[in-house]
Formats: sequence, C-alpha cells, structure tokens
Amino acid sequence: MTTITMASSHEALVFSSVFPVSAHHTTPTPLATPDLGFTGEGQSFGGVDVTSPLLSSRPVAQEIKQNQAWSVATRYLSLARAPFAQNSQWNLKQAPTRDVSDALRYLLVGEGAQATGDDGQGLLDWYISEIRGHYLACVQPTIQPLWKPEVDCRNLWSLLEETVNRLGQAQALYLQPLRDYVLPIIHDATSSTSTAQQSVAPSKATHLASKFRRDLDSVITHSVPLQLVSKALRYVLFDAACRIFDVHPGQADRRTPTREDVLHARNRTVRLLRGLQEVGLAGDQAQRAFAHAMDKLLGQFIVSHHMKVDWYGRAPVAKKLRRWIKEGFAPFATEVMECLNAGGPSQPFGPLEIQQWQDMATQWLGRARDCITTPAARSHLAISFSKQLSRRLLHAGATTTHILNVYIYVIRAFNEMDPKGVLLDRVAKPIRRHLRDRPDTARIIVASLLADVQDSNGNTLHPTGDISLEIATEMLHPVASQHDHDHDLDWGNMAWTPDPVDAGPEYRKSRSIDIISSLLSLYDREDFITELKAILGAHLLSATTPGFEKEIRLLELFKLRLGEEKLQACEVMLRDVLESKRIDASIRGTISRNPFDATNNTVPPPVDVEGEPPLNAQILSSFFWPPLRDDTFLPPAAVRAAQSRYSAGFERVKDMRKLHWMHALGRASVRLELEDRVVEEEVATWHAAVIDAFGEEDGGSGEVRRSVAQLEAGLEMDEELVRDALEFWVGRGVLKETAPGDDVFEVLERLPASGDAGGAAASAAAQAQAARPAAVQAIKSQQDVLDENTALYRQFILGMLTNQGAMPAPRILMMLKMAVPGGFGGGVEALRGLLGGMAEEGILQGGGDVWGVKK
Amino acid sequence: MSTDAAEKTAPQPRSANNGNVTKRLQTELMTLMMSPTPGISAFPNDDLLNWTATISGPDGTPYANLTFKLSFEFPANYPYAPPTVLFKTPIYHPNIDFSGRICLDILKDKWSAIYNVQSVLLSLQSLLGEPNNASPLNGQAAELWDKDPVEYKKLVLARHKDLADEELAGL
Repeated sequence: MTTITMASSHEALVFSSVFPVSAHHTTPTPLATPDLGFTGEGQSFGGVDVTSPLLSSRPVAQEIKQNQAWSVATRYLSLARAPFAQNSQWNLKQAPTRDVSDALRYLLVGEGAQATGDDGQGLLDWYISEIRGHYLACVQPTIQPLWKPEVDCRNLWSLLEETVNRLGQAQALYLQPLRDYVLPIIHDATSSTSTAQQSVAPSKATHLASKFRRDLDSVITHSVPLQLVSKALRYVLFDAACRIFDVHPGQADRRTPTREDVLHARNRTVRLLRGLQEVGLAGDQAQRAFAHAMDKLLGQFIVSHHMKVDWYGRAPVAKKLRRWIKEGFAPFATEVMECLNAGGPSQPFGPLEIQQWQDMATQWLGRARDCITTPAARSHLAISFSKQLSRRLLHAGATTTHILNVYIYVIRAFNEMDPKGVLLDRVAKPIRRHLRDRPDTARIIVASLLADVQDSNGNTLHPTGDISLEIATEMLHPVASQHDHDHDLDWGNMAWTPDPVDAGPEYRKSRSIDIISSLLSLYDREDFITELKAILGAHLLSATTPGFEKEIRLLELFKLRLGEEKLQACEVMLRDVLESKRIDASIRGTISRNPFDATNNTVPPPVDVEGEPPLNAQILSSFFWPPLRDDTFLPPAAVRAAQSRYSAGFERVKDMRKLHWMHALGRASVRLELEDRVVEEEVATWHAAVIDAFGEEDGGSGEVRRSVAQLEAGLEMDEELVRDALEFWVGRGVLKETAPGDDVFEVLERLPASGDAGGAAASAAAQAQAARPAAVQAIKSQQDVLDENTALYRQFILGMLTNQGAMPAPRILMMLKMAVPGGFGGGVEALRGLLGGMAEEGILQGGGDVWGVKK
Repeated sequence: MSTDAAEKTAPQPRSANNGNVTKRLQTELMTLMMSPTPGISAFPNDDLLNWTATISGPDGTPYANLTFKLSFEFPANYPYAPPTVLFKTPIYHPNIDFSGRICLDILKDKWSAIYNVQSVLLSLQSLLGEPNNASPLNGQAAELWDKDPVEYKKLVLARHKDLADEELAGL
C-alpha cells in the first residue's frame, strides 16, 4: 500500500479512488456504500453539515442521488497526500470528467444545493477541511524545518522567498480546482437564470470565493511560525530600505549604491511582498513588521545622514529631512503598503497615511539623539550643547548677527525636538544672556525687523550690513495667536498635562514658540521701543517714498507683538510724517489761493516768493520723537525768510502753535552754476548753507575764499559740520583748499584737467567722506545722548556715592537707572568708562570694580 | 477672571498716591543733583521713599570737618506729612538724642509742604551751629554748649564715628 501511494501522484489518485487512504472524518463516502446507511439521526455522514431538517422528508431517490454526487465530487476534489518535494510541482487537477462536473453542478447549483439549502457551501467547507488535512500532512512539514534552526540574517531573504514560494505553490494547487471548475459552474448557473437574479449572481460567486480565500489564509497563517516570519520580514524590509536609501548601520564600507542596486532591491522587495500578500501573510503582522522596520530606518537614516547639523549653512536639517520624507520615504512606504494591501479591502495609502509617516519622521527628529527620554540624558544633552555653544559661538569673534541667526536655528531645532520647550529654555539661556550683554543686539534686531527682504515681486533680497536675514524672514510670517491665557487655570482643558519633570522653576508652558517674541523678550519692552523709535525715526526722516505703506504695516505688526499702548509714540511719529504732507500742502495752498492779497498784511505773505527757494517742511511732535539733532546754524537768508513765512502760515492753520526749526534735519536741492558746468545735488542742509556762503560776493573780487573759522563764525555752525560740508564739496569737485593745510577754501570754477593735483585732492576728500558716513545722522545715537548727559550722570553718581558709600559698578548702574529720569543711556561698560574718567580727575577712587568718593 | 483688568479699571488710590510721591521725590532729587549745595547731599536708597543724606559740619562750629549721615523716610502722603529724619552717625548735640532722633519744629508740628529735602538739610546744618537750648533732648550738651566749649568739642569728637560702607549699605 505504501509503495503504491509513493509511486506517483497519479497512481495515488487511482489508488485512493478504490481504497480510501485512511479513516478520516473528511474521507469521501465510498461509492459502494448504500445510501440508506445513515449512522444515526442528526449525525453527519461523510461530510460536513449535510444533515438538515429537510433530510428526512426527502424522497429516497433524491437522497441517493445526493449522496452519489457528493461522493463523486469529493473524490474528485480530494487531494493526494504526496510529500512536498523541493523544486517540484504538484500535478494540478485535470479537467473534471462529465460525471464529476455533473455531480459538482448538482451539489453546487442544482437540486442538491436547493435540497440542502446551503447553496453548495457544504461542499466548499468539506474542501477546506480537506485542504487543511493536506496542508498539515504535506506542506507544513516542508516549511517547518526551514524556520527551526537559528537563521543567519543574511539568509533571511532567501528563506522568506523560499517560504513564500512553497506556500504559493500549495495555494495554487488548492485554488486551481476551485477557480477553474467549481466557480465557473456557479457563475454559469446564475448567469443563465432570470435577470432578476443576475445582480445577485456575481456576488454569490465572489462571496464564496472570498470566504474560501479567508479560510485558506487562516489555514496558512496558523501553521507558519508567525513570530519568526514577522521578525524576518522586519529585518528584510529594513535591509531593503537601507539599500535603497543608502543607510549604513554600523558598517564601515560606505559604498554608494548604484541606480541598479537600488532598483534591484526595490524590485526584490516588491516581489517578496506581493508573494506574501498572495499567500495571505501580509496581514496585520506584516504591517506591524513594516512599521518596525521603518521606525528603525528613520533612526538610522537620521544618524547616518543628518547627525552633522549644519549650523553655518542656511538650511535647517528638518527641512532636508522633510524633503527626504516627501520624495524618498513616502513613495517607498506607499509602494510597500500597496503591496501589503493589494487585494485586501481597498484602502488607498492616501495623504492621510503619508501625513502619519511624516509625523512619525518628525517625531523621530525629536528622538534624533536617542538618549533624550530620561531626565539625566536630557540634562546631559542640554549641558553638552551649551558647552559647545559657549566654546564655539558665544565669544567676541562672532558677530551679533551671526549669533542671532544661530539662536533662531536653535529655537527651530529644539522646538522640533522638544515641543515642551524645556530643553530650549535651558540651552537658550546662555545665548540670551550673551546677546543681552552685546550693545548692538537691540539695534540689529529692530533694524532687521524693519529691513526689506523681499522686493515688490516677492524675490528675496540680500540686504547688506548688520541685518539678520532670518529675523527679517521671520517677520514676514503671520503672527501666531497672541492670546496666551493661563492653561493651568483652564479647568475644562482636557488636554492638560503637568509640566515636565525636569522643567525649571521659571519654566512657562505657554512660552511662545514664536521666534520673534523670543527675540523681543530678550530685553525689556521699553528698551526695544526706545531703539525702535530711534530707528523708525531715522527711517521716516530719510524715507522718500510717499504713503509709508510698509512702515504702517510694520507698525501694526509691532503693535500686535509689543502691545498697542507702548507704541503710541511710534504711531504719532508716523502720523506726523503723514500729516505734515497735508499741513504743508494746506499752508502753501491757503496762500496761493489769494496771490493778490500777498501785499495785504492781514494775510500772511506767500511761502513761495518768486526767485526764492521753495520750502517744504515736516512738522514733528517733538515730545514723541527720539532726541533729534538740534545743531543750530544760520541758514541762508532766503531760506530764513521762507521759514518765517512758513511759520506764520502754520500758526494760522494750527492755532498759534509755534514751530521750532531743526536746521540740521532735512534735505536741500542745490543747483550751482559754475563757469564751465552746472552741479545739481540733493544735499544735507548744512552742506547747502556752507556752499551758499561761498556764493556771496566778497567785495567785488572775483575769487571767493572762506576759511573754516570764518565759516564757523558766519554761519554759527559747529566746526564738525563745517568740515563735513567742506569735505563734501571738495569731494564733488566744487571747492578746493587754496593750499594744503591752511584751512582756506575757494570755489573751483573750472574743472582742472583730469589727473592733476586738484582731482586727486577731490578723490581723497571723497574717500575721507565715505570713510565716516555715520558721523552725521538725524537721530542722536546712544553715544550722543550719553555724552550730552554726562554732567548729569556725574552729579548723580557723586550724590549716590557720597551718601551710599562705595559700590560696585553694576549696582551703581542699577541705581542710576532707577534714579535718573529717563534712565542711564548705556551699559555697564559705558558706566565704567565714566567712573574711570571721574577717578582720573580725582573725584572718585576705585578698587577692583568698587567705586567710592575720594576722601 | 482677569485681575489685570480689575487693576486697570479701578486703580488703587494708594498706588496713585505713591505715584505722586515718587514724582515729587524724583523732582527733588533732580533739583538736588542739578544745583548741588555745598555741604549737603542726599540720594535715594533702593527705593525712592528711603534716602540717605550727608551733612558736613559747618565751619566755625564744634562740628567743623565732620560729616554726618542721616536717613530720610518719606511717608506715603509726603509732602503733606514730614519725613522721618534720623542721624545715623553718632552725634553729640543738645537737640539730638543718642539714638539720632531730632527735635526740630519743622520736622514736627511746623512742617509744611513747601519744605523739601534740601531745606530740611539746610535747617539741620544750621541747627548744628545754632542749637535750640530751650528744649534740649540732651541736657548735658545744652549746658556745656554755653559753659565749656572746649569740653563740648571734646565730647563731640569722642562721640563722632564715621560709618563704614557696610553700615551705610544697611541703612
């Protein structure tokens, strides 16, 4: 018997048709068995679920036919228990003979099915149990040994592929009769019946098929060592992804994979996954394995590609990583998920899932340093990072702009890594302290905020000078929600979580992630506003564009961030500038409307007199503006006359309010008619005044010469301004010094031939002029304010030290800030300079940093 | 739920008062600093309501070449009430007791809002040279002032002791 069974599958088939293989509950009923031989009422005989309430009432002939059909069909469907051999195919079933197909048809769609009322389900159930038996007997023994021994990782690929291969063959064997013979019968039968049933028909076939599929899958799934397979799959997927994305976990050889390698790995993965899907192993387990693999991959990818953070470049890591996720990782994940889901319930791996993967990657960035979960490790991270910062960044060599940029990168990076902000809080402290001590920080921040980074077409400009592009870009972002109500008092907030364990006492959860507000909170708001006023004032005075739309917009942004009431002064400044245009027009307008009344004393004379320079004025509310340059000098007589006429006009319009002219502010258009040329320039007012002084005829002699001292006296102007103006005009080639070093200048009526001494002097002067462009500015600088108030400060310091005894400089600074109206205009360094000066004069004495009154 | 709003809508009368006091004292400080009077000086401590003042003894009196520290404590309704003024440097004087309390009418019932730190300091400086011996706090000093100027001067110097910086800081 054994020899025959072994002979060949075909013979086995023949043999089994005569001698059923063994006593098994699914063994088909022998043909010769009388149909009446029920074993007992209500008990199944030779099949699953053939008993039925109807059974007893059925005619005997039908019973016989039913049983015969069952017998024929099951014998046809039964599987040979042949062992699975390497590289051999099982013989697929030949097409059924006529009586077999008749029997099938009878059982599945014919009277038999109707009689039992199970629509042929019984036969399929029997077939499944037959498969289970066959599978356990023949297929599983061949698969089990594969997974028994310890498997080398490198063999996992082939192992999985082999497994999938065998299972696939078995599956093909099981499915073939069903697909080729059984289902068509059902399908044909239903499609030939009435149209009313037609809509139901395909669904019946598919329903049966899918149910069969499920059963088959479960047979396989329960027989395979799932744990091992999923572990293997995890490794295989990770390996594949590593090849595809060029990640080398702990490997020394960094061979960049070629395109073919990547393609090969990808195809192999896809093939394997398809196979797994086919044999029903691509269920939850596989997806979980994939998730594990991808989690690991993200970690490895970040470690191998992005551990070196590029502080100096302009591209933050997160951006690169996002791009990778979007362009490299997501498509791969999509492809894999498609493989795993193919044929399953249609569930497209749509944007939602991609989003999830992205989230995961972002979270991984949060774990970029894999130690961040324990408090000790977190503090280690914070400490080492701070150390790095202080060694590499926070020193005198780095520009403030650079530090500010890095600070912004740090904020961004740590927000990604630790959204709670505890780490950022710690890491940022030294940076903030350092920035606070730098004298130019506030100025750079404010200037950057006001700077143009985009032209009207949205192209990025690259402003030069001390401007942080990052801040300027950040300013373009919309303001994040500003109402930060206290989350701890929001009892209804179900998302409340306690502060992290390692949060410091000053930690505030509501600390805004907004970069601008972190920058603005560096200082007291007042300090910023002072700086803002100064810069905005200079900006407004020098601005030539009408409308001031950008300034208005910026001011609104500042209002949102700093609070409306604090920016009142700035608003007034802006309104002044806008309003002066109107007032200016109206003053000039009132007058020109009555040109004939000009001689009448009741109406002020027109501002613009024929042949005299026209005058436009900006009217500023001095109270709200930062300290302005109030250098006085005598403007040319014509201008003075125009000014007084303008003042009169203003007093009429504005109800007797007085104008105070700031001669040093403003611009003048100058047109110089020289013997050989005409020079037209838009210059500062003192430039104009100085050149005007050369215009006066000096006792009829053709040559007009003026010495510096003469000009100082004649124009009542500071020497600094006179020299600045002279240099300016020498640079333009309008004036020249009669002899080097004698401080006497004359007009250059004819330009000398190029290359001679005059030209050289002009260019030298121009260079000197260019070398100190900041010497004269509209708004007084901090240094100016300091110099001006030095006497006051000295008195206060003296009073303080007389009464309070000797004190260290920081404490003096603090007391000064409190006691002096308007505060102290400088930092501790400026104060030390002042104290040092007083000590030199013998007023104070200092020991270390402690200063006292000299006794 | 906002205490802020409450404060804004109903400002505390006390704080408004304080604002006035601060403003007044700020002005006084500015005047003192901008037009310093030789021999007297004053400056606030950590807050504007507490000052330390310095008087140097007038020439021609037993207090010549000595400096004295005083503490000023301004009440919340200053200048409608006088400041509390104490000598911190030990001083031997008919109208000043050994804990530094001063018997001077303008610091008590004769106080008026037109007085200020400067005028108080000037009065105290002149008090050093012209004690009011009719109502002494230190009877011995009042007696000796007329009887034995040499002994008086000896006692003044014996009692006087400049405060160290640390003591000043503790004021």
